[in-house]
Formats: sequence, structure tokens, C-alpha cells
Amino acid sequence: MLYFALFCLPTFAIIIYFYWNTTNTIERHIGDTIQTEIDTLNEQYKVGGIPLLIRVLSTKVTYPHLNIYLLLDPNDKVLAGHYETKPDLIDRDNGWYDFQHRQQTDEGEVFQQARGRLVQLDEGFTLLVGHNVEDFMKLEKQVTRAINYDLLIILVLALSGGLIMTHNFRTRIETITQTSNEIMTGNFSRRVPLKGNDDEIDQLASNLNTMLDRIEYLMMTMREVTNNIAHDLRQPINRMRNRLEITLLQDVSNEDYKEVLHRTIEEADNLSATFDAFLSVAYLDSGKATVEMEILNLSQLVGDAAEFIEPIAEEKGFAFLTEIDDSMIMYKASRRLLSQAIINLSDNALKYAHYGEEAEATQNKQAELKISLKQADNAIIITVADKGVGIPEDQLERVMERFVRLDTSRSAQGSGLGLSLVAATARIHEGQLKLLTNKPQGLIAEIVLPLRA
Amino acid sequence: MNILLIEDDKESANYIAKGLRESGHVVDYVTDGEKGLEMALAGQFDVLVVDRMLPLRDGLSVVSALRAQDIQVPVLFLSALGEVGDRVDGLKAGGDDYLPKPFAFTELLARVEALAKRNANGASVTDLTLADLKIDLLSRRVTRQGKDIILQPREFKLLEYLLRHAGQVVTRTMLLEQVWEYHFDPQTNIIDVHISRLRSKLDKEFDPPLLHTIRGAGYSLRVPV
Repeated sequence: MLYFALFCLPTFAIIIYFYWNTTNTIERHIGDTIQTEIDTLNEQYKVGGIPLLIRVLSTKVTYPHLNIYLLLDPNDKVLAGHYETKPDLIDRDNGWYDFQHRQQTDEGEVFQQARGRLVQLDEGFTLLVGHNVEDFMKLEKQVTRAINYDLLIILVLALSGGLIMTHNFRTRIETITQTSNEIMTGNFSRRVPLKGNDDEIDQLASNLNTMLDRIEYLMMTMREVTNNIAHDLRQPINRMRNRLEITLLQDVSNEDYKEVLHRTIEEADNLSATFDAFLSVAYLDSGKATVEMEILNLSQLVGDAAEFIEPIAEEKGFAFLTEIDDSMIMYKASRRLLSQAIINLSDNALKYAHYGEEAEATQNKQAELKISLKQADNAIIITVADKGVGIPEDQLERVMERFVRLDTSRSAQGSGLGLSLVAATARIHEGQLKLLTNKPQGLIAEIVLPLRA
Repeated sequence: MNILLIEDDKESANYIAKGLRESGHVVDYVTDGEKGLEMALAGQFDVLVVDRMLPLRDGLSVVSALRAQDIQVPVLFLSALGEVGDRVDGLKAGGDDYLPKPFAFTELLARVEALAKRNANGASVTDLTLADLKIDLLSRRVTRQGKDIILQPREFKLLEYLLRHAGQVVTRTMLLEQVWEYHFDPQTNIIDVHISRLRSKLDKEFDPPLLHTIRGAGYSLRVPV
């Protein structure tokens, strides 16, 4: 409807203006011609009075031109001009009159529309100067009629155009709404159909589809994560239960009972730790975490962490290297979170770098763990690098999600939360965790912290 | 040891009291802060175990009131609030240690015993000894049977802590907090490796072995019976 109105109004306005302008111009032209003529005659009247006028007009009527003249005496008797009697005059104000122009043609007497001006001369004499406006009137009538038709056609076209567009528009919006409804009831694989013409509605639909792709992916991931969690947590619980059950079935000594109880406690502790880790990641990621940060000496933090890790690296036969910028880099951070992150990454390197036969074979030659702290242009980088089997390029992103563990390490100890916790830690410091492949093999984990103003 | 337990959760309190009594301690137990303050002012206790969330008067307030009366009995806070800030609040109110819930009983027991013995070992001591093991705190020299044992700074710190708590059970968490100042679980058995390194330096060439692992609890530096 809006379209309809918007389309019609300007068009109407233009057309009407055009019409009005044109008729006006023509009318004015006629008016000017007549006025000019009147002025000329007035001059002549001033010079020669009525007699001169009579002579002039008599001459004029013999020439064929469209001006009409009539000179009347005070009694309205014709003295000179086109007619013998004064015609009926229809007042059009301002001194303008319409009248019928009598003409003799081959078919007889013909009346045509004329318009003229009546000028009062001295002593009651009147001068009428007019113009044949028959053609003009005809033209006006035709144009008016044409315009009326045009306006009608425009009205119809606009109306139907508006209806078609609205219908089209509404149909497409309804399609989107309907698809949304289906999606909301749980069918996440539905997508909004595209028209293919790349207009705004198509773009909107396309964007919606992209959003839906993302939602579907997140839901899948969440399902996968929930499955992983269930599996990861169910396993130890099952182990505990089985062990306890079997022990109850057997006839064992007190010592053995104690042993079983100890093992159960250990298992329960592991579970507890897994839960805590998971909660930590969730809490950090929630955006509502209020982590206490203070200005720390990063060099010392990294140094402390390296010193903490060194014994276990040595015990596992790793070459342990450090490259720590000891220029007392002061930075506002959480000692707890960063230390935990470095220890986590190192623990991963020590655990997973040995996984797989190739790593086993090269263990003595290449097993290496390196912890470094460097200051770059606009960042501080804490790196934990190893020379183990590394992570396939296409998995480097995925592996930072919660509970994702690569197939090769599915049965290894520990939950799959380490990397996601490190990533969450980096994020909460406004930095990021970058995973890269080491040369010739292995993993480089970089905690990149931005240098703040 | 005489212990006062102020905890409003009956089940939790029973479990704690029972465990402490089984370990040979005398336990008095009340369920609100006002009663707790009253008893602490009247009685002679070696350690107070105080829950933060209490009816009538909360834990922090009880301890503040005690400290204001110059009562220096060691206090261990228990709390469901485990953030760093909460721990700081507890210590500021006059608490000596802070254990977030849920906790393992062995952790509670180890810490309670450590707190009770704390008063005995003043800061004016210049060396610590256990059997033939001697640490000179001023020169940082460690010897067994007169022979020097070379330790890294962190190993020294670890040994010092163990020696100050000689005879008691020291949990991994306590070590992490006191020796490394790490208030989190590293989810790895690195502490065990540090201990075994220290043990090999300490016990390998000497008799009797002093550094023991207490299964399910932690470690203890003691003369074996």
C-alpha cells in the first residue's frame, strides 16, 4: 500500500503539473497576444480616435488571422469588426469574456469558441479583441481526457504492482517465519530457501542460514562434548564400582580391603579433580568470572613453573630447556591461572608427546621440553614446546575445545580439559592460545599476552 | 588435642567429629556462632575449626571477636567459598588456615594437627633437627650424621617445611601452598617426584629413612617406629 501511494503521488503530481503548465502557457500566450493587440489599438485610438479605429479594424478583418475585433458604440451597435451584432458574452472576470465566434464556411455558418478582452474607451465606446480558442479548447479537452485515462491506468498499474510486490514480499517473509518455527521446534537441519536473485531478502535469508549452520555446529559439538564428559566420567565411576563389587564377592583379608578402599579414594579424587577442571573452564568462559589479578614479575612466575616441572621432565627422560627473559617483565595477571596453564601445557607435552610408536622409538634422541618467555613488539609470549608426535594441522583448532581428545590419545590418562583451560586462561587475560606445529615434529603452544597501554 | 568444632551442617559435623575422635582428639561441637564464641572464650582449646556460614554469628565475626580479646588460638576456616578473595578475607579476620569445601578428611586432619603444633615452633629457632638430620636456618646448611647434603633452594624450602612439621602428616596441597605458593591442583603427580628427589638425597646413603609416604594422605618426616 505504501508502495502504491509512493508511486502514484509523484507520478500524478508530475502529470498534473505538466498539464497545468502547458495549458497555462498556451492561455498566457493567447492573453499576451490579445493584450499586445489591445495596446497597439489603444495607441492608434489616442492618435486618431474612433474614426481611425474604424478604419484600422475594417482593414484588419479582411486579413485572415485569428484575432477577432469588434468596435461598439455606446448603444452596443457594431461600428467595425467581424460581426454585425454584439455576440453573447460570458464573463470570465478580469475583463475577459468567452463568446461564440461566427464564421462563414462552405458548409454554412459555424460557431467556434473564442475568448477576448473588453476595453472601455471614452464616451462609452467599447472595443473587443479576441482570439479563436476552438483548437485550443479541443486540444485541452483531448489532453484532459488522455490524462484522465492515463491517471486511471497508472492507478491500476500501481495498485496491482503494489499488490504483487506486497504479496511477493509477504510470501517470502512467511517462508522465513515458517522455517524459523520448524527450527524452533527442534529441527536444526532446516534452512531458509533462497530465491537466488541475491536481493536484500535473499541476503537476509543467507545470513540466517549461516547463523543456523553455526548453531547446528555448536549443538553438535555440545552433544559430542556431553557424550565425552559422560564417557570420561562414567569410566572411572564404573571402575570404582566394579572393583568394590568384586571385592565384596571375594573373601579377602583386611589388608586387601584397605588396599581397595585406598584405590577407591584415589579414583574419587581423580573424578573430583576432573569436575573441578571442567567447572573452571566453564566459569572462566562464562564471562562472569571475577579473577583476581595483580602486577607480577612474569619472569619469576615462568621461572617458578619451570623449576616445578623440571624434576618430572628429567624423570621421564626429557631434555629440559628454558629460555626465559629475566628482565623482570611486570604484568598484571593471575599467578594461579598462568602457573596452572604452563604446568598444564608441560604436563601434556610430557604425557602425549610419548604417545605413538614413532615417539617411543625416538624417545631418547628427541624428547625435549622447552619453556620460554619472550617479549615481542606488542605482546609477551610464554611458550611450551615439545618434539613429540604433535597434532595434525587440521585438528589444531578443534583440540582447544573442551573434552576434545584426539583419537590417538583416547585412552590416555587425564581429562581432555587441559588445553581448553589454557585457552580460557589466555582469553581472560585478553590474550590467546596459539598452537603450532614444531619442526621437524611436535607441538608449540604459545600463550600470547597483549602488552597493554 | 582439644578441638572446638563450630559447624551448622549436622551431617558434615558428625563426620568431621568422628574422624577427629578416631584420630585421638577430644572434640567439642556446637552449631551456631554465638555458642561457639562463648565456648571459645570460656574453654581451653588447641585448635578451632570454624565454618564461615553460621547462624546467629558468622565464622569470620567469631574469630574477629576472639582476636579482639587477644585470644590467639589457631583457627582453621571451612567454607564453600573458595576463591582467592574469600581466603584472604578469612586470613584477615584472624584465621590461620582456610580449607574450601568439599575437602578430603585427611586434608582437614593434617592441617588441624599442623596448626596445633605451630605454636610450639617459634620463629626464634635457628636450627631444626630430627634424629641425625640438622638444618641450620642461618647458614642454610643441611647435614645428616655431620655429612653435608647439597640441596637446591626449593628443595631446602621443602625440607624446612617438612621438618617444622616433623612427625605430622603433610598433604600435597599443604606443600603446594606453602612451598610453591600454588593455590590450585596441578592435576599431576609432580609433587611426588620432588619428594622422591629429596628423599634420595636425604635417605639413600643414610639410615634410618626419614621421609615417608603416607598413603591416601601425604608425606611425613619422622623417625620410623
